[in-house]
Amino acid sequence: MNPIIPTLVRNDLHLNRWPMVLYLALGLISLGMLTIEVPMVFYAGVTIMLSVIIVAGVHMVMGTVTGERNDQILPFIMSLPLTFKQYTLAKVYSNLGVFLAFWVIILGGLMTVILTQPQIPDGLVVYGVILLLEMLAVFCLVLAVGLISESQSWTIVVISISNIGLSVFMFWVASFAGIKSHMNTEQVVWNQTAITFITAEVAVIVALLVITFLVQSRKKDFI
Amino acid sequence: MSDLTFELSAVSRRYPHFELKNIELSLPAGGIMGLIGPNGAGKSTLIRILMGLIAADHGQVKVLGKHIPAHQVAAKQQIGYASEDMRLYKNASLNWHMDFIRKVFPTQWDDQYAQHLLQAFDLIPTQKIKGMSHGQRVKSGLLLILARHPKFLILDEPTTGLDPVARKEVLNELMAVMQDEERSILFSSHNTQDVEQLSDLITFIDRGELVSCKDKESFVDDWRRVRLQAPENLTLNPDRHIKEVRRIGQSATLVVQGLTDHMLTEWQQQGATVQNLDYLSLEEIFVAEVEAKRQGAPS
Repeated sequence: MNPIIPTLVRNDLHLNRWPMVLYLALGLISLGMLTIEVPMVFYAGVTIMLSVIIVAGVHMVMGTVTGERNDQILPFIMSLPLTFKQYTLAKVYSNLGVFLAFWVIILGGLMTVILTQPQIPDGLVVYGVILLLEMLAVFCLVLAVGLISESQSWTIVVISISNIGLSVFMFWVASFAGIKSHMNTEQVVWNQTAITFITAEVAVIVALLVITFLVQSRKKDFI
Repeated sequence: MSDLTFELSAVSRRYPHFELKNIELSLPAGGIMGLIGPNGAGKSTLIRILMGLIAADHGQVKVLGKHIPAHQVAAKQQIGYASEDMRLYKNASLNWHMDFIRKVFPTQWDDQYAQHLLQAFDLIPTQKIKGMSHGQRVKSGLLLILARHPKFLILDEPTTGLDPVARKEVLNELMAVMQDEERSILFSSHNTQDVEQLSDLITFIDRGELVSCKDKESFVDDWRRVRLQAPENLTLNPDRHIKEVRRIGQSATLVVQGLTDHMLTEWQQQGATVQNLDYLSLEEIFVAEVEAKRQGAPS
């Protein structure tokens, strides 16, 4: 591996560390709010948690991919001894790395809250996993659009549409009998419907990453 | 290792409204080439092709003996590139950037020289880039490339937008860098004064085509402004030598390429008196060469 790749990844982590710490703190606070047995606080916690996941992803992509292009930092980076494919690899590592770390913490926290709080039905585990995987897939989509289009405008369009899509997705998933029937029970049921959702989401994530690398490898111009 | 720092052979690149056409250009190792052209002439396109930032549609590009873009990583180890449209991370300090470049080029980075440049450029290392003036940003960018002693410096409009003091600081440091005879420099500018001051080879480019490429002395020796007191019946028309004629009554001013004693004698025999023979400035030569090329005259 070109040694510049880890240096670029560390740069992205360093330059975005404080906003990410802030989002993580907000995420943890939102998880704490889920443990409070007041419906309004619970729903506010859910809203904050989902918003913080979206914002953290958007912040990384806008800051380290499209922002770098808009701020004309890309010629500086590309003047260093690396290829555009290696640049893409560095951006995927840093973005996916930061977001995955954040996502895993929130997912783990959410699972812990669901499984330890008696007022929250354990059956929500499956719904929660499907929902958070959708958000991971959307992050990969936003990252792919940011890297491939190199356009802040197109990235914002995709972010906006996918945010609206999240609400639709939540209702859509909950409308499946295989999911809905277990959501308010104390049993965690990984049935065929749930497995199909999860498999499809993982496939979309992998496909988005593969497409990103394929398109980036074919580019001839980098600035 | 090739004796040429770079070599462009039949390089073309087409855009919807612009085309870089069939460029044949090379720079010997240790040479300093100034690339002069009006805005939109193709200077930056040519430089970006050399850097592997954009690919040529046709032709072959070799930099420091490496094919570009295929072996750009190896070539860029020894290239220092700065361009007018290049920016650093605005939320990071110059110190942070120096640390970054030190990590990328651990064996090449010269900390002592970096400290010298900090002083020479009057820069504050802890200052964030977003708080710097344009001149300070340009100087910071140059510091980052100079302090790692690249074999080949590519500078795309390095002095554009600088105030006279910052421009002098940058030019002084570039002149110091040029003392290293192993180092090659290509820099573009539309400021002919800077190019004249720094270059030993000059390339004119216009509308995507090379107009001419010669050493500075050849350009200067080749062109003269001739002031004549000429009888009105003496015909003075542009030809392959006379590129421009301005006449007011008996007073005529000619811009001549490749002036010979024979031409002077011939005019004198026809009743003209040569009042003055002047050298042209590089800017005047550039304009004359470009106009000659645009009119299709042999240059």
